[in-house]
Order: sequence, then structure tokens, then C-alpha cells
Amino acid sequence: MRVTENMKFNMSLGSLFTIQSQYSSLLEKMASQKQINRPSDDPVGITRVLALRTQQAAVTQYKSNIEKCDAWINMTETKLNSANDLLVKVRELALSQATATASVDTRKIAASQIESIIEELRSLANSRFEDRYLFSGSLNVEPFSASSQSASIGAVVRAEGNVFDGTAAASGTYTGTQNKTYVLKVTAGGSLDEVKYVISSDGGKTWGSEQTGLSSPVNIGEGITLTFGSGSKDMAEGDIFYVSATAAGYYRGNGDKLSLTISPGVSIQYSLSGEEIFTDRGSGTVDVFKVLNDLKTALEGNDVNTISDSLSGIDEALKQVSLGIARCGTIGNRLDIAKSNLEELSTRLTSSLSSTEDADMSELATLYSMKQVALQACYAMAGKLNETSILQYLK
Amino acid sequence: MSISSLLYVARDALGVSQVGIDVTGSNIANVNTSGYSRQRAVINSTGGDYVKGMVFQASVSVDRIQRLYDRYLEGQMITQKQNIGYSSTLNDRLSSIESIMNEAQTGGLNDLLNKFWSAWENLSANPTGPVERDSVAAMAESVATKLNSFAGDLIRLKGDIKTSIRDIVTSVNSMTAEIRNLNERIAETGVKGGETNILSDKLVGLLGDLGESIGITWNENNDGTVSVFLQNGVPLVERLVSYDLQAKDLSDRIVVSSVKVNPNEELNTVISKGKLGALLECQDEIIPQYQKLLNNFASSLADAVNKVHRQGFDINGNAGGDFFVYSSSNPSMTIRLNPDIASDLRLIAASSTVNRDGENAAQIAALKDALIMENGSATLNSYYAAIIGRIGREVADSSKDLEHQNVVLTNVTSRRESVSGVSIDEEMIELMKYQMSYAAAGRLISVTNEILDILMNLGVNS
Repeated sequence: MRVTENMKFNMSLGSLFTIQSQYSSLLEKMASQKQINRPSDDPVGITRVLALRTQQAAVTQYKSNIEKCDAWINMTETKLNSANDLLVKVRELALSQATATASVDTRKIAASQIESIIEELRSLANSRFEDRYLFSGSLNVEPFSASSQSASIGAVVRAEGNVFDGTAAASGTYTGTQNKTYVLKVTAGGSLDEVKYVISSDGGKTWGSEQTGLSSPVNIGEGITLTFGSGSKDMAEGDIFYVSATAAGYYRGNGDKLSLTISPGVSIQYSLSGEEIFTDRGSGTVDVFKVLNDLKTALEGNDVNTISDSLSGIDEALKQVSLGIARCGTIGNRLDIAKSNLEELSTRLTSSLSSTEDADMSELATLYSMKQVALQACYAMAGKLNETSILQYLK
Repeated sequence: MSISSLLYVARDALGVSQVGIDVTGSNIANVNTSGYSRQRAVINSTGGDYVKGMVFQASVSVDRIQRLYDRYLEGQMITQKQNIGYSSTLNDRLSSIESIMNEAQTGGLNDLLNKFWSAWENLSANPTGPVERDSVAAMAESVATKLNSFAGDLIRLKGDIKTSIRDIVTSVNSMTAEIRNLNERIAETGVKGGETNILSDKLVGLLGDLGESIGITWNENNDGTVSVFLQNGVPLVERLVSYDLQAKDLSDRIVVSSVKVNPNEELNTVISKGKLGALLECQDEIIPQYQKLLNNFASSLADAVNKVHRQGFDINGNAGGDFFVYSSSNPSMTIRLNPDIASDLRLIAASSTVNRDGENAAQIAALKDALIMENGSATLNSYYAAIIGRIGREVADSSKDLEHQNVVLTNVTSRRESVSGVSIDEEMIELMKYQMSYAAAGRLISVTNEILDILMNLGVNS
């Protein structure tokens, strides 16, 4: 083959460029410590890296959710333990005052002790974590009132965006046993005669079947009647009216529980409602505050029979509270298991991410010195190109 | 045979040697000229004389100056330049798209999306918290802004490509005009029987440049002129006529057509090689394809979040409205947080009841694991990761292709150099050869002179 000068120069230039580009890509990897500096470095790898990063972000979030649940449940447990201690004290008092050795005076003293215990228990049951009440269910209101309230139906609340400007009033006697929020949502607007609506008894989570016409008072359930009077603007789709109905007793919260996601697709109900722990509604069997107040009244009235009868109520109350404490333990256990699973997952994710994305420094350093040798050889070769020419020998 | 005719022979020999040195000189001078084919003086003996009934060739002349080249290799060079033009431009433009959507570093859309989902989780834990609401809104805005900037960058990139297409069409037109001019000169010179070596070199160089810009086929006519066509046979140059291309701007894309052949026939799909082929492919297929993927992503994200958001209640007890708004003609460019929500964060519907719980926020956060893309086979995050994987793969493929085409070009160039390139060693030896023959011819003259001298002085007493 005929070899010309240009071929020699081109070849030496070409190999210089090739080695220099490999050299600079190695330098980039060493500087960034990353194997993948742009998607084209490893198209399959980058998809994996993104998926891993997404998982990692989710795991971090789950961990922080678990921390929150954990703090909440610890707080709940502490409060319930104190409540338990208080109830034990109540039981001792009731036991001692039910005997013949007790007198009117000691019962009066005991009554005042019970009163302060009731106050203390109420403040425990009304305690907050950050700005939410521990035992109010999903409603964020002070859950326990000082005195027993009769069943009531609150005023009709209109959502701020409502179009309707006529009157809306609630009436009737609430017959339900649990505190509920009834919601009426307009699904097709129009005059009161033609308006279509749906009703929810759980605050808007689930809805009943669609009905038509609000011109006459409607019974929306459990004794609640809503009456509408037309105004200058008709109802429009999306108008919302709601009514809080409270059953008789001390409790003002509801029976819902708070939940958070703690691992992919798994959410945990981490709160205990005041309903199940301190009332006879839902899964509860005795109304703790009623039992204590009855005991106080009996002590004040020197009613020995009622005092001894109250013991069974107090035992039930203790059982209810201990059940709550046990539930805290169960939730805590679930959280611990989820947490250790996540820790393990997190470690695995970090190592997968690192093996896909991070550069192997020892390998890079070896390659680097290899390329350096090649580059030096290239320069040396280019430097000697001129030495092999006939011109060297022509005088 | 006369003695004086020896002088003529010597004169011819001197002349031929001189031409030889001239040709060598021009080879040496053009050692670094790209596209130059080395030349050789083709020498022949001339004349004849009878000596005792035998004829022998007496003198010498330069027959012609030969251009040394391999027609096949020249053709390969032009073809390969078309491939290089295509591959390098495609690689260049794809890398621009890649750098727009570089997710290898943290802080890209994927990370923002993860933070967006986390913000909803946090809101679900504290549904009335103003800080949590604010961070949901802020992350939603970041995600939307990032999508807007991707879409904007793609549109700008397309704008750049349109400018490049116009530039290349203009330069193609000036090159075809130049080829036509060269054709004219070659035809003219050929008629007069002159040498067309340099013109041919120029023509081959121009064909290479033209091929690098646009895919062509060509053929050489009997008189040395060439005709050039697009890949589907639409002519660019037919001997002494050139056909201009035009680039018509239809606002979102440029359509290339031939002015004289048929201005209404779109040639975009026909041109698949050279720089123009790559640019048209980017304009008509690659960029629209990424725009479509991003639009699909943006509208799916907005629709999915909106659907759940509408089922919930805000702090005021109102049913939730749309969380994201976008215009369906270009979702990725127009997606943004509903301005009503941006101005009143209480409108974020975090609750599934009117009692201000956080369950709806948790349901929106759960969308991150929902298989809502690609007929229920991918999450939003994995759909986006697939887009990134795709651009990565396209760039990697085109880089490999470019590398391969460069190797082929180097190979063809070497082979062409081997045939047509100038070797200094060779030229120096040629130079010595002609120098020696020149000296010999000079010697011939002085010998002839001496002989004549002797002849003239015969019988003269000195």
C-alpha cells in the first residue's frame, strides 16, 4: 500500500483524539464520582437509578410518617397510663367508701377527691399533640365537655362557595347514638322543586342515592329535618350544606380514626378515638365520665348501694382503658416492624443505587493510568513522524 | 540523421524534464490541499528516424497530465460524507434534547415529583397546617414550572433547527449553482480539448460537501459533467441546469420542496441523509415525539390529581376543584397550579369529609404508586423514567453510529489518500529523477555543441 504523509498525520491525529476523548470521559467520572453523568452513559441504568431514587424518596417519607405515628402513639399511651392510674385510684376510693367503716364525712372528702380526679381525667382526655386533639377522632374539637349535654343538632353550615342564598334551617331531635356530620350535596342545580341532591351521614365519605326536590322539609336521617326557603339565587351543582349532630353525653368528637401510609399501599390507623375509650358508643361499653360523675353524686348523697354498684362500672372503665393501652402497644409493634423493614429496604436501595450510579474508583484509577500511558505513547509517536522522511537523507 | 536534429531532441528532453519538475512542484505545493489528486506527466517518445532501414524513436514529448484517482473510492467518499453529515447532526441535536432533560444529576423533574408526593403525605398528617399546604402548592408549582421549561426548551430547540434547515437549503442552492458553473466550464474546456483535472477535483469536493448537507445520487456524463439528484430522483443539477430548493415556513415546521420541479411536493420524508436529513427528522419526528410524551405525562398527572382532588373537601367544606389547570392543545407548556388555589391555599382539598381530616391528601399521595400510564402498566414516575431512558438510548445509539461512520470515513479516506494523495518521499524521488534527466539533456546539448565545433573546425589551421 502506498503510504502518504497525510495518512500518517491523519492517523496520528485520529488516535490522539480518540484517546483524549476517552481520557476526558474518565476524568469526568473521577471528578463526579458517578458512573452515569448523562442518560446516554447508561440508558438502562438511568431508568433504574430514577426508579431507585423514587423508591428512596418514598421510603424516607414513610419513615417520617412512622416517626409521626410513633410520637402520637407514645403520647397516647402515656396519657392512657395516667388515666389508668387515676381509675385505679377511683376504684380504691369507691371500694373503701362502699364499706361500713366509711362515714358521711369521709364520703364527702372522697367526693371532692373524685371531682378533682374527674377534672384531671378530662384534661388528660382533652390533651393535644401539636395542634390536634388526641381523642377527638377526625374532628379537631375539644372532645370532652365538663357536663353532660343532651342530644343536639347544630345549625346548618353552608360551604363558602355555595351559590344558593335562600334560608336553610335544621330542626328535630337527634336520635343517633354517635356524633355524626350529615352532608347534603347538590348534584343538579335548579329551583327547590327540581334540585337533585345526595346525602352522606359520614361527613362526605360515602353518599346515598340521588333524590329530587327540597321545597318541603326533608328528613335526612336519625331525626334531623332540613328546611330550605328559596332566595334570589337557585341552588347550583356543588352547593354543600352540613349539620353536626351530637348524641347525648360528654363526647363531642367522632368515632373516626386518623391514618397515615407507612409502607407502599399500607396505611395504619394510628389514633384511638375518645369514643371507644371513654364512652359507651361504638366499641365502648361504659361512659367513663358518667360512671365517675354518678359515683361523685352517690358519694355526696351518701348512697352506699350506688357506690358499690359503681364498682362494676369502674372495672369496665378500667378494662376499656387497658384495652386502649394494649392497642397502643399493638400499633407500636406494627410501627416497629414496618420501621425495621424500611430500614432494611433503605439499606438495600442505597447499595443498589450506589452500584448502578457510583463510579468504582479503583477501576477508574487503573484505567486512568492506562490511558495516560497510551496518550504519552501517542504524543511520542507524533513527535517522531518527521524523523522518517527522505528529506532527512537528502543533502 | 543530422547532428543539428540532436539539438532538437535535447531541447525536447529539457522541456519534458521541466514539465516533470513542474508537475512534481505542483504536487508538493498541494500536499495539504484537501481533495487534491496527485498528477503525473505522461511521457511518450515521438518522431522517428531511419537508420540503415531501421526506425527508432528519436524524441520525447508530454502526452498529457494524468490525474491519479479511483472513481469508486471518490464515490465512496461522497456516500460516506452523507452518512457522517446525518449521524453527526443527529447526535448533536439529540444531545441537546438529552441535556434539557438531564436527570442524572439530582434536582430534575423526577426528584421534584417525589417531593410533590411527599408534600401530600405531610399534608395528610396535618391537614390544616398552613406550612404543609404551602409546601404542597410550592412543589406543585415547581413540577409545573419544570414541565413548562422542558416544553419551552423543546420549542426553542425546534426553532434553532428551523433556522439551520433554512441555512442549509440556502447553502445547498449555492452549491448546486456552483456545480452547474463547473459543469459549464468542464463542457467548454472539454470541447477545446483542454485538461479538466483541477475542475474535476473541485467537482468531487463540491459533491462531497453537497452530500454532507443533503442525501444525493449523481452520475457522470460523457463530457465529464455531472448530474445530481435527490434520493427519489428529483433533480438538483442536470448538466447545465440547476434546480433550487425552497424552505417554506409553516410556523410549526419547515417544508422543503423543489421550486422548479413541483413547489407543492413535500420532500421532507425523501431527504433522509446528510445534515438536512437529520434536521428534518428531528423537526418532524423526534422532537414532536418527545413533546407528545411530555404532554401525555403532564395531562395524565393533572387529570389523576384533579380527579382525586375533586372528590375531597377543602378547609371551607367546599368540594375540591381542579388542582392543576392546563390547555389541552399543549399540556406540558401550559400546566400550572390552579391560580385560585395559588392565591388561597385553603382551597386545597386535603379532606375526604367536611371534618378537615387528611385522607384525601393521602389518596393523592398514593397516586405515586398508581398504575395509571401505558394502559395500567406504569406509574407516572416510571413513565417519566422511561422517557429519560429513551433519550439516553437514542443518544447512545447515535453516538455509536457516529463512531462507526467515522471509522468507515477514516478507512475510505486512507484508501483514497493511498491512491490520490501526495507522498513527499515519492515526489522527492521524482524531483531527483527529473533533475538528473534535465542535467543529462543539458549535457547532450554541450556534447552536440562540441561535436559541431569539431565539425566546424575541420581543415582550419589553428
